[in-house]
Amino acid sequence: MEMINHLALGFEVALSMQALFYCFVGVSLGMFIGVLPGIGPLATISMLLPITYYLPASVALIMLAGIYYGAQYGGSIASILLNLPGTASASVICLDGYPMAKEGRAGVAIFLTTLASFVGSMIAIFILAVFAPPLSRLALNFGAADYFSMMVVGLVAAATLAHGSALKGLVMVCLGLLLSLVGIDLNTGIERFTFGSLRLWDGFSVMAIAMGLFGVAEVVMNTGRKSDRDGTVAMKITWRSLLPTLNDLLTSIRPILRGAGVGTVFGILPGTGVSIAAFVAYALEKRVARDPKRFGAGAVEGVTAPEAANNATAQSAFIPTLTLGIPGDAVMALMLGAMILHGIEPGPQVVSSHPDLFWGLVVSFWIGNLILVLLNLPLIGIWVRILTIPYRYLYPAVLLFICIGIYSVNNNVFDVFLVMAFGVLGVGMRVLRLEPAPLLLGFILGTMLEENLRRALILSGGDFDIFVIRPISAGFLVLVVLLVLLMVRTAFKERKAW
Amino acid sequence: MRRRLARLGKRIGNDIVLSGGAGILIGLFAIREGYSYGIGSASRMAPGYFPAIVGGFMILLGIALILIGLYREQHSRLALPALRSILTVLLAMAAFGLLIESAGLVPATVAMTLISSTAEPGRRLVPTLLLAAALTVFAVSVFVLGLNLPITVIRWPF
Repeated sequence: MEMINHLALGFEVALSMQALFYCFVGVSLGMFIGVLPGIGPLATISMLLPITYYLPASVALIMLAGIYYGAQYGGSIASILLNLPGTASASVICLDGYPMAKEGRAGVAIFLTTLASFVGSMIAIFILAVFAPPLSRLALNFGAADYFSMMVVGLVAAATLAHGSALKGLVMVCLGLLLSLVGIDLNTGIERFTFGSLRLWDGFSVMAIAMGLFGVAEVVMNTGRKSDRDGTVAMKITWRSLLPTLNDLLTSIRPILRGAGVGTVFGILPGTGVSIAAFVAYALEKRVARDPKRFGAGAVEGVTAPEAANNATAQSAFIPTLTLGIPGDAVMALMLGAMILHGIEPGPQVVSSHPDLFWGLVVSFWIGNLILVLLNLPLIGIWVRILTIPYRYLYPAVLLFICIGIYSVNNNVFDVFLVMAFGVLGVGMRVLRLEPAPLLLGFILGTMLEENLRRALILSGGDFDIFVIRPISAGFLVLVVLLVLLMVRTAFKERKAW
Repeated sequence: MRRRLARLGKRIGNDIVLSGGAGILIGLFAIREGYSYGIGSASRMAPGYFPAIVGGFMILLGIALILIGLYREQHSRLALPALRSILTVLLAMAAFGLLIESAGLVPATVAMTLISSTAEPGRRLVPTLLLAAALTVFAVSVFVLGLNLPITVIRWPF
């Protein structure tokens, strides 16, 4: 098959000494940056872009890509250990990863994340290798109405993530949507919800929200109590406690497969897919699990599926970037920039005119993940040891990370106060048992949702029919209805669900 | 009369009803602001169209939540955080924010560590000072020296 030739070419490129070295550098850097909350892959990639001028194009992209998914992985580690998502899509990992850590299973969680990302990216490669052309064609067929409906599916799925009530989850989604509208409306130039403050013209930064809601709120809720936190985690760190049980591994197989599938599909869709994938994967697991109650309390599937999805997404998001020239997010845009700097025109012909670049990149994902696995096996012990630090010394460090992290993005003190405000919001949400993850997704998708709604309505001349007439959109909306019906049904079955 | 109020308080003071109430308030706010930006029509969405829709949706959800909350028999207690934690954490972060530009990273880190350590009772002076020192060294080496972030380390005449 042609595929074998392609992959062989890819291996040839990716296994050169230079490529391997820079892949290693990229992955390690990315991982350490990802663990430090606040400083995301975007900043790292922009800082390292100039270094790549002197490298051949494929090696440059390999390193930058390594930073990207390395950071994703590091973000998961921070989510599991500290409930502090390093990247927005890592916030889903917090939901079950952090409870696992509290139960003393942090090592297991990290190990499974490593495994899930490795397998996830491998699966994505295979799916891509076979399905890339038809998938890209599918992506081209997406119109504004279809994007809108797809995002609604993502948001409703996110609402059901809430450990308790899905209604509350929907309220959180809506609040997230509203928060994303703060700032100057790109269509009309009118300031919305800024109340005269110049600083809010650009809206809130997703990092400020994530760190306030997750990080600050966590610290506030955990301190000051005469509780057990100091004593619990002084358990023995043996190899045995770091490794998952056979049961864990077996229960992870299908979630990883499903998560990777979800991730691959969503990654292909330019723009929104990358953020939604982890949420949808989690919701899917919760939906198909035999006892969904375990989710939110340390369910293994809740960690492996989103992680596999995240990785598969990172892998497949390169497709629209390379072949359509449409970057999925800011990081992909930087990659596009790197490509153009090296004289490569993105577009459908990239695969045929620069096969070494394309397939080398694809294969390097696999190698990079392998490097992550090898790098992390010994490190898991160290990561877990972080948890044995008595909380009274750990939480000031967490606050420090949060403060410096957010300050360093714009060198703006206002951002620190913003995080404080969201911290207060986060505490209020904890008291009222409202989940932060749906809010985060609502925030990420809000402006895109509005934009697509506007476009769809303009195209249809103000007619809402368009959402039902277009087949792709109709399909997604049917999914939404099904999800809602399922929600209502489970709510009635157990009256306590609210 | 007091007993009636107390029972009413119990029925309302649970997380579901309060969430619903918050949802309604925020939804009303969104609609009001949306109107001030102009609603427009479906084919010509004005800036206020989307906020108004979302706000309206929130109000519906809020009403549903309140009804459910009032209807439910059992309520779990609200988990309130310690007042001390809220105040110290906020104060610590504020101190960081105020000091980092006027005095530099070192004073900001030290101040923040010392203040935030008061959130947890039972701390001792020497370990706390050591922690402040360690964190400062870590912060300077990783963020300023390692990542080359343009943050002033220390600004002398403060």
